[in-house]
Amino acid sequence: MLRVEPEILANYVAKGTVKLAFSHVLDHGKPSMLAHRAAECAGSQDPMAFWRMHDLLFERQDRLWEADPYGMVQFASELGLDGVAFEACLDDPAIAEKVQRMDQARRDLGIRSRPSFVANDQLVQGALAYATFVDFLDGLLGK
Amino acid sequence: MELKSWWIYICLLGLSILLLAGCGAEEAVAPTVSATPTIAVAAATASIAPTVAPTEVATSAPTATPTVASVAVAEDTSADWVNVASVEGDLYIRGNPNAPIRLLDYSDFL
Repeated sequence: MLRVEPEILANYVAKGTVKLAFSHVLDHGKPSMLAHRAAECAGSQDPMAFWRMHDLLFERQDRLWEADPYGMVQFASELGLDGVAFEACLDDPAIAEKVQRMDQARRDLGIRSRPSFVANDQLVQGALAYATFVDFLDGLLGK
Repeated sequence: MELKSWWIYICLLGLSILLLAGCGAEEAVAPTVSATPTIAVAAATASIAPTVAPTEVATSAPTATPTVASVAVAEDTSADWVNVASVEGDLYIRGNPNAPIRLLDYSDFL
């Protein structure tokens, strides 16, 4: 998650000038894979649920190292998702395949450090202060 | 008596020179203060280092200068875009689907 995401949401996404997208990075083996599958399975029920699960996973980041599928189902339950459908989705090999494919795609692009993001077609790597983000985004917006 | 007055004048003159020299030295320090933003950027860069995966190469410094032509874009507050989500191919999108900038975050949850 971008450190400055809350400010970008409030000052750019809310004004309709920036949309956020998320691409999976598997840096930590099974715990990573389980968390990304959980986000995908939330999204399969409702695209906004993907983002609510995304926010919850970052909020509970310290618990993810020991998490199991049951823990993810509990997260889904907290978000009001259909637990049975969510559990079935976690077992779906197509979801794991999608996450792996997206992770491989970013490796193929040479994206190997965090944080990394692409604004339209421009790759930006490194932790930017919010003020620097403002200059960058306003530059793209022609402000 | 006259000799004593001369000494007072000389002391006052010396004191004035010292005060003026002091003010000059303060002005010379000012440019160092203006270098602070550079230091702030360096600190921000260093703070991200621990999150970089050990097997991967960390970048040296953030790059943040748009290199493509930009067009002035009007804001659109006709909807609560923060709570609007959609799908583009494999990607989940948050915000105005027609926003001129797509910010794609490559990230792990851990």
